[in-house]
Formats: sequence, C-alpha cells, structure tokens
Amino acid sequence: MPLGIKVYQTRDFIRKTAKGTIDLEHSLKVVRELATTTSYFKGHSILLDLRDTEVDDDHTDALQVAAEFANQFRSFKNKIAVIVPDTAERMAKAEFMRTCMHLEGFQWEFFMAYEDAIDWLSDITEL
Amino acid sequence: MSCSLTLYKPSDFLRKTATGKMDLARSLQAVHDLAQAADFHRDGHILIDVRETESTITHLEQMRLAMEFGNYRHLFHNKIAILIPPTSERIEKANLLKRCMDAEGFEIKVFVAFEHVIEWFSEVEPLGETT
Repeated sequence: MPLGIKVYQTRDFIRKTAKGTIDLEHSLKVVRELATTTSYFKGHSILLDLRDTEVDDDHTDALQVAAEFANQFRSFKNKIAVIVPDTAERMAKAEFMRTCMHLEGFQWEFFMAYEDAIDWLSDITEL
Repeated sequence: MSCSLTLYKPSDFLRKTATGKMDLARSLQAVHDLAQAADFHRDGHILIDVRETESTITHLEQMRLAMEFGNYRHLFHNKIAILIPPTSERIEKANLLKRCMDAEGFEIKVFVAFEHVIEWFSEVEPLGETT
C-alpha cells in the first residue's frame, strides 16, 4: 500500500543570492565567481536566487551572459536553478535566458518558488 | 548589487504531505506510516507538510498524537520538521505538539516556510559576500 511519503535526495549545491539592480558587468562578474567556486566544489549544483533583484538588461545582455557561462563552465554537467520574481516581465526574460542556456547545452531551469527549485534539484522517490 | 555565496549540503529527507481535514484518526495513521518509513530510511530527516490541511484536532488530541509518536520513539533518529499554515491558531497547536514531543526526546521544529526547513536540514556554510 502506498504510504504517501516521498524520499528527497538533494545534491549539494552552491547558492548565490543577489540583491539590487543587475547589469551586464555584474552578471559577467558573478558568472566568473561562480566558475571559480564550482571548480573547488565539483559535483555541486547551483541555485541562483534573484528574487530580490531588478534587471535593466536587454536580450543582447542575456546572450552575452549565456556566452560567458559557456566560456567559463566548459565541463559543468550539473543543474543550474534560477529563482526569479513572480512577474510577467521577469518570466519573459528568464524564458529567453533559458533558451540561450539550453542552446549552450546547460541543464538550466527557472522557478518562481524556492520549493519548486529544490524539487528540481532533488531525486524524489515515492514510497 | 550585493551578493552572497553559500554552500548547502542537504541531508536526505522523507516528506509526508497531507491535504484536507486532519482529524485524530488520520493523524494517527500518518504517524504509523512515518514510523514505518523512518525505520526503513534511518539516515533521513522527516518533513511533515500540512500546509494544505484544516486541523480538527483538539489540544487533548494533540497530546495523544505526541504520545503515539513517543510509542515509536526508537524508530525516529533524526530531525522532524512540521510545515504548517501561517495562522495563529495552527502555530499555537503546532507549538503544543512540539512541546509534548520535545518532552518525548524528539528533535522537532515548526516552520511556515519550506525554505527554512531546507536550511535546518542542511549543513550551511557561508563562503562570502561581494558588492
């Protein structure tokens, strides 16, 4: 009989939390910092928490950030989850960024809720 | 823009999610189910998610529930997190259950946000802040 219980196994992850206005310069810096960190903590997933941020970038910036990820994270095979504010504008930007990152071959997904990000970063087994 | 970088090492956990009305019979059944699962997965913490429930349990029944957990004390080895709706009535009830279970020797905490549960279930190591 099913118990209605799930087992969560969540891979270790690096959480980057940002606050304030995101611009291209800072975004590229964050990508480089993350690349350095992941080189020390191999096998970890990444959680980017951008809920307390604003963006004034355009699609060209997203392309450049995606290219920087591709450049810095050449051998990165783990998941990258991004949490964004729950607004139509941010979701549209996140969808565009996801398309760019998928084209670069990354396991990249965005969420509005922390809980959904953890679900995606976890192996979940139903008992 | 300011940033912080943190390393998370989350422990495995068992999650029991309930919805609808929770009376004593359903709650006791949930305790039995959890005891069975906890015995099988001894290294995992336990998350009881009752955010989508209405509780019809009285204060006396809360104590009965804590006693039932106590009957299976030997099967629960790790942390137990209870995730509840953020209402004063539910917080009061959950805190009563916590006090009773503290007395039974359980490591239990009450939360209203999933995020804080994961923090409690994880080893969290700050790696620095930048601007």
